[in-house]
Amino acid sequence: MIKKIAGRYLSGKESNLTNSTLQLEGNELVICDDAGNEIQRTIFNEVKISTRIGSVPRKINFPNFSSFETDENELIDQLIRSRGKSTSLIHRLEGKLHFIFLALVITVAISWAALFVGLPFLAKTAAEKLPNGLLNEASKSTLDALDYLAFEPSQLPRDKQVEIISMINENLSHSEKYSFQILFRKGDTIGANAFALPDGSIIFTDELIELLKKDEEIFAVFAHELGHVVKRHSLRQLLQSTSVAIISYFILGEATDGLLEALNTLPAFLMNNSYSREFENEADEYAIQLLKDLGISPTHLGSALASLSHYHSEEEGIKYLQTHPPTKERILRTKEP
Amino acid sequence: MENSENTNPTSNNNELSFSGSGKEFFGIWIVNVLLTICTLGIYSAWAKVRTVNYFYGNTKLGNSSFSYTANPVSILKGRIIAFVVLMAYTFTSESSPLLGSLIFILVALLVPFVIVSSMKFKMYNTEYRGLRFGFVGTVGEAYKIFLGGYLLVAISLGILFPWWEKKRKEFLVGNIRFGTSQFNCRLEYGIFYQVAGVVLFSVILFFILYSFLSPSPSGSGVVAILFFIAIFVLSAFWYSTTTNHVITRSTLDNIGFRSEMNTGELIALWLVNLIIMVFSLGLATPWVMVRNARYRISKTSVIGGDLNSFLAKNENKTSSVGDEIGEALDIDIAI
Repeated sequence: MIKKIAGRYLSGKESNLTNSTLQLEGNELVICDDAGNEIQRTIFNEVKISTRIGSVPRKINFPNFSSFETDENELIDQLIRSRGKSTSLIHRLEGKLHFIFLALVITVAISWAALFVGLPFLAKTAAEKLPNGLLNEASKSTLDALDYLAFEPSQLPRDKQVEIISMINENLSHSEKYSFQILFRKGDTIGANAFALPDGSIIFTDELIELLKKDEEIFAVFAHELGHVVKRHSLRQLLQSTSVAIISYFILGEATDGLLEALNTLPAFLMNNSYSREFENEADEYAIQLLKDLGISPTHLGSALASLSHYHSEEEGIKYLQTHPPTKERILRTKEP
Repeated sequence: MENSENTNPTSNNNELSFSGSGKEFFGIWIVNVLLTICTLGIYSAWAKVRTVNYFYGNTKLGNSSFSYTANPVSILKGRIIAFVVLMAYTFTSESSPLLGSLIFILVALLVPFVIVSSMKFKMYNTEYRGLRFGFVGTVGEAYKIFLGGYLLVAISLGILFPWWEKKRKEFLVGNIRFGTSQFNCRLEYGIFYQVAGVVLFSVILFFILYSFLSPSPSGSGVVAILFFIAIFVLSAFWYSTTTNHVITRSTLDNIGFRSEMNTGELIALWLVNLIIMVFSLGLATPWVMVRNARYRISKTSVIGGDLNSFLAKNENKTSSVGDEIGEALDIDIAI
């Protein structure tokens, strides 16, 4: 025999509550008011008992829309068990300290694996399956935007441009066919730099050509940019960053109030930088391999990076906030046998 | 045994309180996150119902608490649609800007409909003392206010923004009903224009400061920090002032409400939230959610009136209209 459970009875028709008690009699649930008068009698199997969540009051809903509300979670669970039914497994897990700790460890491990292994792998697989020209339109508009906002037309003599293009083609002549096109622009405020667009456009700034004295260095920078194109980094970055933004919205979205909503973009920002550093490394590796295959020393990439770093008077920043890996590490890698 | 004076309608027992704890909610949250990850996001709908119920159930008013009766499957449907649209939009806006903006315009045109549908869903599934809430705003009116208002704000170069803010708040709050009673929400333009004025003035002041400080290299760092502080303070000011006004100017039959949030307290709350979120890499989310709810509810009070005299709306539970609303799509949307 289970004792009476104290709570509040709600008729479902009016908002007033009646202090009352709930009791199991045979297979029926009986509600009585404080004076002991019976208000409600229902077969146990016809009621719906709300699932237990923390110390939230329990609700027992009757078929006639009336309900009974009680803070006696433990007694309700005893009642459910006495009828041979099982209580919520999830609630039992939520309250167990060692399970919470286990859940925490698993969650962190899975999140880490998903962000650093799973997602990059899926994005890579998807990027290889997606059609080649998917980002051509985006490449054009990116170039238009850069031309409008940053670049000026190249002031490099036409002869020099032709010379560089033929140098690159000559170097590549013995290897497989690549589809790319080389463009020249005056970098202006951007200065010495090179860019790769997903459609295979590789842009050199005039400043870069002036900075790098050796053809091999220019070719090394070209090989790095070609790595971005061949490995489809733009598409992969797009797939990865979109996924991270959506996932962090769904998981952290509820916590943010007012201004803190801006925090939702922080994980995406940090992850995008991490992905970008990974892609830079991959492009470096690609360039080093290509240079070796063509019989050119990979140290030319290192010296090009050193010149660029010196030119931009780089300072060591916080690694996690950077889109590129530290230049020192990158140069070291070009010297590996 | 409960004290019998709670049933006495004349006693003023309209005390509003929040009893959730960050420690307890952490267990619920981490299990939610784990199951959501393991089911590739599907469990998130069930997680939402548990989460909302945790906050509703711990919000106590007049010796009873709120409950959330939503069907997780409806939430899941809404989330799948939102996910697909979001994915399609972010992806196409990069790969094909024209198609991307087309999707954006289509979605924007649907916003008023989605707002009404979500409010209906949310309110229908909110229960207090055995009675359901509801939302009686019409889709037509929503189009007038959200889309029409938006166009007017754009045409007026933002001058009508405070007016729009007022209209939206009145629409969203004034159309809520509890049982057969409807909320009344009459706001003043003045407050919204004052708040907007303060924000605008601060922004102008900031730009003047910026032009003085930015030439020196150390100045740009100072400006960045000042900018961050300014945004922080202004959002807290905007949020506390407008929320206080909306709640204080709302009534339900003979019941009044009061909200007394304070900009300084809100800044302190958000600042601590920000610090613990960053240093815990997001694991402090449950504490932040509880802290926010506790603060808001501690600053809100229900005054006068009688909580016992509300009546259930009949069609609610007998006709199929209610069920349809309950099954309607719930698409999370920040309003």
